[in-house]
Amino acid sequence: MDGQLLESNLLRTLIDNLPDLIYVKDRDGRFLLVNASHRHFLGAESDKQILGKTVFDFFPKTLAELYHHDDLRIVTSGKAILNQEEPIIDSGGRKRWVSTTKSPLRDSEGNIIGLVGMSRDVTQAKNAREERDRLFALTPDMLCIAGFDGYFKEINPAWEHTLGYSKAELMASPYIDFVHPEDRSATIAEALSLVENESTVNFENRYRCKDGAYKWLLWSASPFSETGLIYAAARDITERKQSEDQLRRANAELEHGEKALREAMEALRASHEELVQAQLQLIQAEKMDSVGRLAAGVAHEVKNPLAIMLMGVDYLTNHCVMGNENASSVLRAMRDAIHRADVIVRGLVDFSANRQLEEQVQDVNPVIEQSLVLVKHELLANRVSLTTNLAQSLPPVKLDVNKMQQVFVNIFMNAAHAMPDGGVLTVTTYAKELRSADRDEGSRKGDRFRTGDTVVVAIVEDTGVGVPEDKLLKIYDPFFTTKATGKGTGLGLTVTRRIIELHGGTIDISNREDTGARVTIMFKAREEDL
Amino acid sequence: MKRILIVDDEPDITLLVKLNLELTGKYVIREENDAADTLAAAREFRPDLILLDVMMPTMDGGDVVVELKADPDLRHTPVIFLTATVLKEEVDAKGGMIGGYPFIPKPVSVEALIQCIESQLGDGKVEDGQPAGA
Repeated sequence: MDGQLLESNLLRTLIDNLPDLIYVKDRDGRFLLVNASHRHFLGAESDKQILGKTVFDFFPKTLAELYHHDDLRIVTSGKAILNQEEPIIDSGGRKRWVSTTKSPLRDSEGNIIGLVGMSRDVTQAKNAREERDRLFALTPDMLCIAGFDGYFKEINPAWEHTLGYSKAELMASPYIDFVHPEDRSATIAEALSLVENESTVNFENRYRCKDGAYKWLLWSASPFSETGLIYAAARDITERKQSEDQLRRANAELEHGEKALREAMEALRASHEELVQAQLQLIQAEKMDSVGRLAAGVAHEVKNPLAIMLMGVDYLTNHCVMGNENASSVLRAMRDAIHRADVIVRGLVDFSANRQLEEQVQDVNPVIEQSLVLVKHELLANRVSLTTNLAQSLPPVKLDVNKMQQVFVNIFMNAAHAMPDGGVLTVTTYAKELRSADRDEGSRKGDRFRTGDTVVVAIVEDTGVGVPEDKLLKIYDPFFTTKATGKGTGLGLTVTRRIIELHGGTIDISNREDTGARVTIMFKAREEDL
Repeated sequence: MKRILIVDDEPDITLLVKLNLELTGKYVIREENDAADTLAAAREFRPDLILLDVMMPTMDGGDVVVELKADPDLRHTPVIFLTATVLKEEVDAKGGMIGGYPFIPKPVSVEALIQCIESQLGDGKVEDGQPAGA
């Protein structure tokens, strides 16, 4: 019996030291045994205050009925209750939660004579779980627990709100089924790395909503390999993505717009420059026209007085001063002065008269040859030798022969005057088709010809002093001259350029590399006559 | 002595032409400063040659020629235009003639003037008002 007593003591000590509530009831629910924890829980001093009583003696009626109903079911059905969470009120009146396991108690013949119960206080765990569940339910982020098998094990209500499926629908299919087809391979790769125990940070993919739309989700996930679970949080970033998209589109549009604006600005700047150039040319042309009109008016008025003076000088020369040398010198000087004034006035009239052309289709070479005949004396006087390289069978151009003769005579005379100590005058003609790079040759404006035009080029070169570089831009200005007073009117090149421009041609004057000047004249060949 | 009528609205011009030509002792000169009176002056003076300005206030030199042509007694009288309206170069380029008439651009030296007058008087043969060499 010592052994039996020992065992009984041992068991008693054991159950009294367990923190769980342990009890034995008979078929009617009367307590047959409680452990120390239970005794304390019920606020009893000794077992006697409990044994023989029922739950109705210790708990509010509703709870007591709940417990008793279970007890009856166990003793009648013989089926145990496992880990059932139920509320309980302790001796202090505080509500607690216990997890209860109750099993039928049988005698040696197998008859149910009562039940054995054990209730564990799970209040703290339940509160923690409830807190967690409240957060789980509250957060707008989508929280989930998924298995390595590819199914959701738990999801929070945000999933239903965001995607529109019920929880059951979401948990019934592998989650990959909800992922956008384009994002599936990346999602599978990510899931595999989670299985390999790597966390996911800032992974993005699209999930299909119940209405067929897709939402962008931003994922953070950690695997827990021992349980084969993945704990994950996803945030709906669809709006952000759309904003980003819009921003990107807006940026692209802005960039495009900016580019267009830059181009427009560039075009504007270019056309402004052209406009300024055109305006300058227009002002210059108008100035020239005014000078021309003025000149025509003035010339007539000046010529009569000049005629009177010249005839007066002649009269005095022939009549009054015979033999008086001083008076003769004075009259000679006066005659020279009248001659100079006349040359200038003639230049002015010439300039103003050059408004209309009597053009004919013509080879330029004979015009040059005739002009050379006219300046032969001047060339001889200056000991200037002549070299001509006139191209055979030039395409014809449209020319006013007299006016162009005036042009060439003027240019040859300038060349002769630039070589007072002798030199070489070279005249070259040729035809060529303009390439784009040639357009500036012969004219800074370069707007008179088009690429592909056939032009006839005449080049007059001398070995004289050349034109001072700072004067090159002024040489066409009326009354500008580099010649000594009395030697030039300052109208020659003004008239020359005017005539050439009336012909639709261009003139360019530059200095040669070694010495002297080069005049390049270009005319458009008459296409219909080619 | 050849009779020359000089028509120009500037009295100084006509005076100096007169003085210079008279100095040669070969010409008798009559001045006329109102173009509108040219016909009357010519009918009265009966010139061998008329020196005629082009731009004049009362009548254009061209119109004066039309009037002269209309007069059977004067239509063959040679006319030289002495004018500030054309350039020496233009006249030279056309051999001294414009529209069939000799032109002398002002200012002109007495020598050149006399040369032109002499060449127009030359053999004195004119046809239908057109001077010889036209």
